[in-house]
Amino acid sequence: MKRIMINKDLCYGCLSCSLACMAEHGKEKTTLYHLDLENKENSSRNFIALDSNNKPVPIFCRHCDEPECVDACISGAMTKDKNTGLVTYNQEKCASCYMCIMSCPYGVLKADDSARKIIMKCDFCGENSMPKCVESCPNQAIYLIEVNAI
Amino acid sequence: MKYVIIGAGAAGISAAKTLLDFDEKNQIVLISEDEKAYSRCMLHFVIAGKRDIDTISFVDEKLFDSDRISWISGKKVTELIFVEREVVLEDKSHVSYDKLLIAAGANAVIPPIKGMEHSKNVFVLRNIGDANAIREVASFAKRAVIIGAGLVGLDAASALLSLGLEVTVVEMADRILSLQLDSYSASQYQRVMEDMGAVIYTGVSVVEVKQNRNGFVETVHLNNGAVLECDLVVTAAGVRPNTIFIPDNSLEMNRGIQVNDCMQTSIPDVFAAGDVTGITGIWPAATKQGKIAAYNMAGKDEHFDDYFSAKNAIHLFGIGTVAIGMPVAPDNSYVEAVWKNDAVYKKIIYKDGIVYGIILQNDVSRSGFWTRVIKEKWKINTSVKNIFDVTYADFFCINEEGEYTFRQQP
Amino acid sequence: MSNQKICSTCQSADTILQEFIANLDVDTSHHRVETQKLKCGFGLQGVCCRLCSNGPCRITPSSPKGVCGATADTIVARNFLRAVAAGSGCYIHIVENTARNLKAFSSKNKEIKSEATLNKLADLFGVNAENINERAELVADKVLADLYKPSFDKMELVEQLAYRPRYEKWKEMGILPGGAKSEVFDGVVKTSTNLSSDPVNMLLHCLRLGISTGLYGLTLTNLLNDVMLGAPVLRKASVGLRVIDSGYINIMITGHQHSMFTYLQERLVEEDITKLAEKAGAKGFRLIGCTCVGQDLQLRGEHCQEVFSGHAGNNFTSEAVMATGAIDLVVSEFNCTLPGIEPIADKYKIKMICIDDVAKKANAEYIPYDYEDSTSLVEYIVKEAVTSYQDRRPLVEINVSKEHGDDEVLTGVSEGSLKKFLGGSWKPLIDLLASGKIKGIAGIVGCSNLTAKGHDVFTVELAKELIKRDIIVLSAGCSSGGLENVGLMSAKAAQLAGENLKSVCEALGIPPVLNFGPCLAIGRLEMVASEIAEELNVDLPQLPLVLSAPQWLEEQALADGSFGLALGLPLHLALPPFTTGSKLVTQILTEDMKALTGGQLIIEGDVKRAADQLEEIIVNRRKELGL
Repeated sequence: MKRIMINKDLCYGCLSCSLACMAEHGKEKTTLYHLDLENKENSSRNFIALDSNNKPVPIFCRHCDEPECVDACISGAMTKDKNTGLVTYNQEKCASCYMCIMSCPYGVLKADDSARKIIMKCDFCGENSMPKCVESCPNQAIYLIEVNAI
Repeated sequence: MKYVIIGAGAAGISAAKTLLDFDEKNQIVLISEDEKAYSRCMLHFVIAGKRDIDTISFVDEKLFDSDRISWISGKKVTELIFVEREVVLEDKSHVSYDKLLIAAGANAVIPPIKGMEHSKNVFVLRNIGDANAIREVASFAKRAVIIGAGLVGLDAASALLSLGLEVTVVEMADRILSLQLDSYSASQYQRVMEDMGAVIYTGVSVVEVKQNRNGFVETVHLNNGAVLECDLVVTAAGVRPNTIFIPDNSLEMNRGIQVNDCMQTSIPDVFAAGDVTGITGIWPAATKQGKIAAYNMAGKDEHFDDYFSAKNAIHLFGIGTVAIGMPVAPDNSYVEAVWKNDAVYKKIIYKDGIVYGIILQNDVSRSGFWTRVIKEKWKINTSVKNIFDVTYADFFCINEEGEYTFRQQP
Repeated sequence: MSNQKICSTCQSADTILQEFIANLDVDTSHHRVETQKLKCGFGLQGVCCRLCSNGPCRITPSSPKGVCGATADTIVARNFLRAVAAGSGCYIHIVENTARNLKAFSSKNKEIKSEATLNKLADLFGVNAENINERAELVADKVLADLYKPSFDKMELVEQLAYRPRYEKWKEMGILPGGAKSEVFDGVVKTSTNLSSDPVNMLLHCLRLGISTGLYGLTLTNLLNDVMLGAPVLRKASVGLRVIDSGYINIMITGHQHSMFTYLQERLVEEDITKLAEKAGAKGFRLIGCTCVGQDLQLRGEHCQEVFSGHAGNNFTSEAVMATGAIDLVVSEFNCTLPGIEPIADKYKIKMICIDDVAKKANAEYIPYDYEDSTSLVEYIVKEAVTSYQDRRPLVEINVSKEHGDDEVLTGVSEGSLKKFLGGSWKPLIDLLASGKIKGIAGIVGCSNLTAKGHDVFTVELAKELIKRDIIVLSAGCSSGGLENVGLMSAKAAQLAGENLKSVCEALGIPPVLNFGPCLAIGRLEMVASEIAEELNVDLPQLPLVLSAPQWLEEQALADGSFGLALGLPLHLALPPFTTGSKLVTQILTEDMKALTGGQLIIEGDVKRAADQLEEIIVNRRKELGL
């Protein structure tokens, strides 16, 4: 399976990845021109955080081999797909209990910013395509690698 | 190899999934008292009518498509004959095993209060039957009393308040959610519940309940003299491992069935996982223990290492809280740092750079790394960075497989 | 570069050019589009602010204000006004220099090529002087006086230059501009840190800047140039790379200030200079047009027939023109003089001279233009051109495509020459509009860019769509450079028009797309529109007239666009002008403007939908006029 590799030294914190994720996952897919940057419902799955040297660090879902969020999920909403290796989120089953948010060891997960019921979970933009975040990074600080998962 | 699993809860299902994927040749038999597999953490949605038995299932139905797995549902286990490697069910049938996993869960405890037994409207909240019964009574009841303001008690309160009942909660400790939260964060839930009409008594206990001639509890009597009129009582006073079917003097016991970190019991080829072990009563622990037990049953040496259970995620009454580690500092040698505005409350308890507890209320985003940091007692350099600004970025490390690891702070 | 072509170049409507560029051994803007294709979302939306050291700030759902408290509306409006101010400044620089040239011209008693135009201006401005040169100087003085006024002093000539109903509307709205340079100055100040945070005030300022840009920078510059260099006369011309004859010493010019070449264009074909060229082994000297000043020479081609080979192409063709190897010297005085030509000049050993330091290339020699006496400058240019020709020709390969371009382009179209062609009045055109033989008029103006579907792609496709719908297209700017190179400004293009428009074009022997010349000529389109509106006794928003600057490129285009909106015209752009991040600014420009000036900004990135919208507006206006 593919995983997003990160070279944090190349990251300038431009947030193109976050914007691309928002544009892809909003109520309607949209372009960077028309993404409503004032609408709290637009939320990125990934995020950039500053470390203690004030350098930006990209923090992205790993679609872990042994995902804590899947172990913690009480509703079966978070599952690891044997074939694709992706950890996927089923909004219908989700009970919004926040166990996954608490369990992700890297603090990748959050709920949406309006009703706070939906978990913002990376879905790799559908299995076959290049994730929008990777596509949009001007520095190739994030790029795809092949890993043998499961 | 024939594997028999008792219990279709988090541990049992997790073990079944793991065994199924492990190799192509094994046979798995799942035995459960439950007719269907469902998440006990979501029973309050059933009470409130928001979901039903099927929509609180946490299991992918496709799990049972394989002909290597069969499920004997709705049958209680009455006896275990270890020397014969047999499980005896309530209908007197025997199921033989090569390896056995006991994941029978835990049962709710009814506190020894005078008048509680044999009453028609006093319920625990542990099984679907409980939820259905509560919902049934709630359809004509007007006033409910909930004994115990822990997670289960408040789940029940939330469901009953949403159905329009007058709800009174009785709690022995000085605040609701006393094991999980501190006074301030607990008070936020209390405030919202009171705005919804709930009445909450803290620092009191129930001395007696009185039934009417028909066996319905009508009044609940507190140790401060208050008498609460009600037509429905839900008691959430904790659970006890379900070990009644274990023969005396067979397995080593402590709180529940004793196991090592390979989930092995004192009898070879017999394993236990989940709430029945009494180790840590939280869902992720049960899932992981089920997995570990399954690996070891199949001959793969794996160890359970996640004993850290002081972690709670609460999302009720529109308020989301994550509480990890100790909710209150034991003494003044710890720093209790608070970050607060009208909506959000954050509190971190630390000493000498080690974080011992964190409560995050109304802003739990991206907070999961704290679980690891607190569990492992990794140091944080608080002079360099405001502790509330710490994220995984401060520990960022990535290996060749793109997996994150944790870089220790100097 | 190695044998293997790994990079790709962007698409061009001009397929022959595209092929030529793809096979070049140098890096051009067309190559660089690919590597720059990842755009910053904050920049695109105009919500990035770099005004202070607490920034750069960006607006996101979790950070809805900058550190100073600026909202998306404030940041977008600030960025927009600053761009319009810069663009306006560019045009005002041009008209200032042009007026200075006229003043110097007249004091040196140089020959006034168009006395008719001078008299028109003198009458308009109330200048009375017997002596023609004195008249010219007084006109120049009036213009300069206005430009140098402070912002609290309204410019006097606005009332004379503007169409009366428009003037009244602007007066009513309180947007009559003060001194043009001061308005630019104020625009820069206002948009600095923690100053204005009122988006409406800033957008009204943009309209003021639009008016001064349009009336002075555009309309007036054309007329002042006509006075010095001659009014345009309709004629057929050749365009494209084919015009370059490598047998001559070729000088490519870039910029917008035709009046700076007045002496050069005369001198280069005088006998003693031609002999210099012959001595070096060439047939003589020729000027090659590129960018708007090239369009200006083409427009006035009647008056410089000998020296001007033709307009080779627009701004994004300039790199290709130089890479033919047949250009010996470049003289630049304004934009678009791409930084990308620097390494090309080095590689092909092309001498670069810059005569206005605002357009200085790193490897160009700067010789300031002398208003009093440009003799020594011209001599220097000639000398350097000969040296360059002799030094470089043995060393470089010449590769001029004779297929590229067209030979039958109708040029020299102006408000004067077109009216004359129609018999001295606009009635024939108005009759054609009334009868529906011509459904309406569309101005497709402005720049060329590489990102709205490709180099001139949107422009050409839109023009084709509109003429199919019997809408005649008037063009001015680098858009004309693109349209003429693909043959749309030649009579044969009538074939591509709808039946009605086709029959009109065939009868008159004109193409369905008319070339008014440089982007300055947007001011000429305004004159055409005003004169037609006056005959019909209506205001501009009532005419079946639409405007599109589909591939607008830079800040000047935004200043032009502000003029278009102030004129009350529907203005279409294919790409948003970095304003979508503010709902308020978008609302005002695209909706509320209708109630203010009558104008409307239309952003539409699909050619057919854009054509549909523009046609619909024309049809509605026809209905309201009772046509």
